[in-house]
Amino acid sequence: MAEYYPISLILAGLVLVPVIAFALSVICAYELRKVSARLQARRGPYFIVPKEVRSVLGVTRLFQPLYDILKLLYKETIVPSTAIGSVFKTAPYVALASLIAALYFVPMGGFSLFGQFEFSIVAISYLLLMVPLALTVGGASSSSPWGAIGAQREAELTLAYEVPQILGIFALAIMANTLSISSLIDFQNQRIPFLILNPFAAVAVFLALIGKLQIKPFDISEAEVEIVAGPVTEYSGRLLGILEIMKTLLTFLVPALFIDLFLGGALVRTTTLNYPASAALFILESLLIVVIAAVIHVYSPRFRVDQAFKWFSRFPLVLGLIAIVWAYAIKIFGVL
Amino acid sequence: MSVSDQVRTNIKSMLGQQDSVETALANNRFNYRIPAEKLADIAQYLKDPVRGRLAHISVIDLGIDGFDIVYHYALDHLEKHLHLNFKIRISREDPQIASLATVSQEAIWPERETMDFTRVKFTGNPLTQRLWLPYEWPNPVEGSTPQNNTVKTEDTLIVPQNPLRAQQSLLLLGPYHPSLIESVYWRLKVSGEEILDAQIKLGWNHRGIMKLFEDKNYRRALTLSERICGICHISHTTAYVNAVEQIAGIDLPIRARYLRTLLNEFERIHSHLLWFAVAADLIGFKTVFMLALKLREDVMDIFEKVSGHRRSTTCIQIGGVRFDITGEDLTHIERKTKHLESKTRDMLEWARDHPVVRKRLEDVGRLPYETVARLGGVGPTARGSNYKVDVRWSDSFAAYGEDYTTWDVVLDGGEDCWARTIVRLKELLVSYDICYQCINYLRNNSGPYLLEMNNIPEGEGLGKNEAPRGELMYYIVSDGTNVPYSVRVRTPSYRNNSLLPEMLKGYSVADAPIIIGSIDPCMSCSDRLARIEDVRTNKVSILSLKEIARRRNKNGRILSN
Repeated sequence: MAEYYPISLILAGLVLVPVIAFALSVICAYELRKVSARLQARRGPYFIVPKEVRSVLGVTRLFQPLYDILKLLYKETIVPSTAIGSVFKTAPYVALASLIAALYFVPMGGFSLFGQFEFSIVAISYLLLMVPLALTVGGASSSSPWGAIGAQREAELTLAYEVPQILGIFALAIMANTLSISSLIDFQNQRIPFLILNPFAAVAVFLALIGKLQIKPFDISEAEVEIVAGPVTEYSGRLLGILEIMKTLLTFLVPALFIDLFLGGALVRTTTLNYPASAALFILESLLIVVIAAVIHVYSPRFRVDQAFKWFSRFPLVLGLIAIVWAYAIKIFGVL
Repeated sequence: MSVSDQVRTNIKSMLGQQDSVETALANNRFNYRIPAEKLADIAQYLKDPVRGRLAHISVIDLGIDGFDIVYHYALDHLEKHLHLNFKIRISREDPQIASLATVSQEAIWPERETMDFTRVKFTGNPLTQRLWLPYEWPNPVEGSTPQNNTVKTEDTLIVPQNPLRAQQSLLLLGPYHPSLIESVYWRLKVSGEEILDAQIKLGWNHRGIMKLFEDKNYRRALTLSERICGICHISHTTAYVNAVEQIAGIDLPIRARYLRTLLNEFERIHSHLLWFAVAADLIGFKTVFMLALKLREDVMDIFEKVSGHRRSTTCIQIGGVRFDITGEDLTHIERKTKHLESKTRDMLEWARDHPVVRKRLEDVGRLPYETVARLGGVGPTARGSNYKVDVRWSDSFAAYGEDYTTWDVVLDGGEDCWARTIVRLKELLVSYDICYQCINYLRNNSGPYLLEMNNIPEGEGLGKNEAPRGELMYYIVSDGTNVPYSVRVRTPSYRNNSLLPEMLKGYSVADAPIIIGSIDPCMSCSDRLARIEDVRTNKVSILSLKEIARRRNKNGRILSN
């Protein structure tokens, strides 16, 4: 049986983990916007803040994504009269709730609320799958043709990237013989990170996660010049704000998951586990992954959904299959 | 025997001895006045063996005398400068004439335009809906009954359909949509994401400019012509002065020719760069959008330096150019042009090498040579399908002729969006080359660049220009006063927009923006009342702005009735 933290710490963590993760994800979202803006010869989010609050915020406007969300939360929410109201209103909350639940299972800098749970990988996979599902249902229920087309694209794209992602993650599970994400981190810290041990899985999962982040080559479901905003076309006000919070959280959760799976959770050990240093390294590595994502975002135009499907089944899927074979080969020949 | 002699002899024999009235105008243009029943035969002859282009159909309101319908046939792609105008007079009491749509499909749009705005009726035109005016407006010929109610019922049936049972649905793109920079309304019939049928509706930016021309004198009309399009203002003024100078018989000074060429080429450069940016955005490539627009700023700087304005420079005048470009300005322009050229070569390389760009553009929006020739495409759209039409080459004006500059027409046989992209990027390189030649002449020579303007005599002129989007045509009729009697404008997007429904069929909704964008549509050019629709009751009311203002309630919302 896995060992959990005391109940008081778990209760505190239930509140603190989403708050801290949201603060970090705001910084990640800012970085994604700023880096891609600078690479596109733009200014990006406004740089200078008023003098009075500089002592608190510093000179950069790091919290621009937060202000955007706050603005949306103040605004009026309009539900189309032809939409299926209950589904339309529930979908964003379902997406956000499942994403927050997924956060509890993802270790961050050595701290994890439920990471020791024996099936935490399975739980994360399902909870992350809830996000596109909720978006699909929400878009389809909005009664807008753009929402319907966006929902269809979202579903197709999810099918395309989910398979390589699952293959890549389960290749690790086969190698470490566990379904718990904390055990995976322990396994990597005792030997070497999976990035070196199984690079095929790393590439397959990274590409799948780019699809999940919905940045440039794969922002197909929200292609603004084609279908306005896809599933979120009819969303406004608070509901759109909830979806924005969800998206912002995703920009942090995706690098965090990658670090845990392939970079050994960014743990720093001196004699025992050094928590502050691990946390710092963790944040540094996730910012680095966001920069890589921003470069991909800047360098590529948008795929059409059929092209994306073909691309995913040509490269990441094959890499995922190779990763599984590689994992078995390493296990059978007993290299570890 | 040249094309012009052969065609004219044949037309003479078709008309017979008693009807044969031919007037030769300047610049290899010929006017014919023919009886209405001979028109179909001549059109058939010019369409099939000759392969001429029906450029436009103008209608001139002669007041009590009736209407003059002028069919402009452009044969300049066969022989330099050759144009034939066929005039038919119809009476005011019974303004009817048989449609040419069965003979040449190029006639459909001009005939619809004429029917929208005048009382003239073309019997047998297959397009039964309004193209410019709102669908519900009464037909001036048939009386006050709304033209067709079928459109409205179709709308109400299809939009709130149950998505689970829908096989086909109607996707309404526009009038305001992120992919459309200007307002245009598309009705796409789709099955899943595949487009089965497409229908276009224009008129969202109709300003009645052709009517405004009729009460402005020639010099003021020039600035009005500049306002037709925000992007290609120099092209419009050049085409306008080409027509006026043809009437007045002005022979341009050589320096003015080179200056006009230089300015026109800079217009093309900035417009193609803008197009490149927008096209990149349409396939989701924001980075290239930003970089290309940054590059376009250099051209804007050149305009500002030489004229004081970034846009609407009014640099072209009747009889020349408003200002001279000399000395340091030329050096500045040359330096900027060299910078632009090297960056354009870079962009051509990027576009060629990027795998996703090619995937999005190749085999998309296929436009076969036959379709272009049949429907009369112009500009880079036509040249991307190997159809050689370029006014600079065929009806050369200013310094585009062989005596002044040397350059080639860019052609590509790819027939898809990729080919049109390549044609535009290569045209940029050709434009830089022409610019260098002009700068070279301007630096080493001097002379007058603006002539005194005299009275404009009675007559008519057909002025053309190769705008960045294609062949632009002005037809001006002068009655000897200082105000033009009639001005008719045929913009390039007018012709290319009519190709779009053909191009969209069979492709997916994801491809629709880039297909529409690949012709570089300029809706304000093609367009020349407020309408309120109540979604729940499908009741449509047409209100003036004053009425809307009166019916606003305290919250500033418009009340529906």
